Amino acid sequence: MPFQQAPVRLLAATGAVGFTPPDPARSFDAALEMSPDAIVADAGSADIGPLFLGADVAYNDLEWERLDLERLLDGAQRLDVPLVIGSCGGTGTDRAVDSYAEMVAEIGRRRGVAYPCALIYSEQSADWLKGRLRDGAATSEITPLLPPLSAEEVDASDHLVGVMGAQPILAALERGARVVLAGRACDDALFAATAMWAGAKPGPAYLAGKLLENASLVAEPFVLRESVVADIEDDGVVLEPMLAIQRCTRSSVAAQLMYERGTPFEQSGPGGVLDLRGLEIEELDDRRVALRGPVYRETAPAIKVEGAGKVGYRSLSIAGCRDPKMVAALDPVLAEVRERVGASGAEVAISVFGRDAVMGPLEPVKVTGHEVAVVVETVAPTQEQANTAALLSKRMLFSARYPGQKQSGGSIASTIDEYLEAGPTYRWTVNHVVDVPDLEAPFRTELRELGTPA
Amino acid sequence: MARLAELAKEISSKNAGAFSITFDIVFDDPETYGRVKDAKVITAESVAAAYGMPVDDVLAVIAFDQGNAFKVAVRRTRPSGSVGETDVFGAQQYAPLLDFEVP
Repeated sequence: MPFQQAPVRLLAATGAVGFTPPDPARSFDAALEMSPDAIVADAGSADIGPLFLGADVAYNDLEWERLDLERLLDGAQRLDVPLVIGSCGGTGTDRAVDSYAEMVAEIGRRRGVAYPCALIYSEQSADWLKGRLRDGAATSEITPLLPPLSAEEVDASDHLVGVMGAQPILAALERGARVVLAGRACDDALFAATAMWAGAKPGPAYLAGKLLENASLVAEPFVLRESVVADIEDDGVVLEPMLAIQRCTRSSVAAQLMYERGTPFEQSGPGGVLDLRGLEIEELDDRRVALRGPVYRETAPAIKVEGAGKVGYRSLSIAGCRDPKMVAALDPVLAEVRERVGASGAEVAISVFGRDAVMGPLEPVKVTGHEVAVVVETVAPTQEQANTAALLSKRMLFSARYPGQKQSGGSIASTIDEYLEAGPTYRWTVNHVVDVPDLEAPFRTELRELGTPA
Repeated sequence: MARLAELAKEISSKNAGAFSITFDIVFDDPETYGRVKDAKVITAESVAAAYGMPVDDVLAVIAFDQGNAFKVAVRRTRPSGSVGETDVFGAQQYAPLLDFEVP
């Protein structure tokens, strides 16, 4: 089927900005040779737990982030194409956007370049969200897996972010931004917005977004953080991985279409749903795949809001068990630890690595290793209380008595620390979809030149 | 009889949001996919039994014909990142699926 217009070519550079140190000049340079219309990178907004949002701390090593930003900026500058980066810092908080902006400015100063940037902030106030709640915009029908949102949970949140769709990003590009640093955003929206800005239709644009959001994970063998190029056409998308050892196949793209979603057939996002029931997948050659037939339907405007709130302070103790009799007697020993430490006012969670730590209650294999590691986590209102509770756990394990005991030197093997102070700990307070009147209004965009011209 | 691990190209688990985990089982060709689909090996009941969870905790079992793949979504026992979390991403929860028997 001939295309109606020239395809839009996107370079997906990575699905995880700053996640690891960048490998020098691998697939990214090959991708630049393909003359893409734009470069897009997602900053690894995969569900990383509530800690980083609640504490608003960096998820990655800052130097790795800076190195990634540098190569992305250099590539975009060389080709004179826009660069779009989203969910800055992983959590997309305002501080994380500013952190990326500072790095971009510093790179700009060194390069003698002033990048025309758009910073799109996504944090929300408790008042705004409670207002939406009063308007009946966050009912349990919208987010069925969770209890309904409450004002108390909003107030218990230390940070709240709205997850933006394509709309604010598209607007920023239309206003002339050449580097977009977006706060918390739907992974696919970064790519979809950029594709639509370049002229693609929504169906293929959102399909491209879903396929590209983790860059090289759409291809096989499994490699993180390498580049993929997509041609977005009138009725679909053609993908090609840029790392020589990788190829896209039916199964590799199928795996990506299913990745981190409840179903491969429908992808809901702010303002619309991508229907893939009629999708056709064709392997064009030994490394390129074409996907055709996406349908995009607009829906009532709504965004997901994420929030995390502090629950206290956390401490850990790690103990090794090697005596077969101690290992066999763990359950009553741990029950006593839980009871006594719990009575002291701390919350306690115990995981036994080598038995069932990884799968917990879902573990069907009832075999225990010849050695295990007992990891005790305590949570309490103050760090001192959490530490004391962890220390108590450790001492109880050390002095544990069990049937068949032959030793008197200590019932566990200890590492150097009696306990490890883990700092404040958080829980999800908000993880709800919220109706909004307008998909751009919750997000604040600033246009700024970052760097200095030579 | 063959084990699912011998027949599948990929068997993965990962969170879909903070409250559910999904298992992705991908095959290399439509024949092997069809064999597993026709034998009704992957069902809400078989998954619930393998994991010792109530069948209502299996939220969806989806046959993705175009991709020669299955997706299963289950409720997480607790939200990701809760105290005592040992698998924040839900990336290591698929082991019981490896041993599913396929006629």
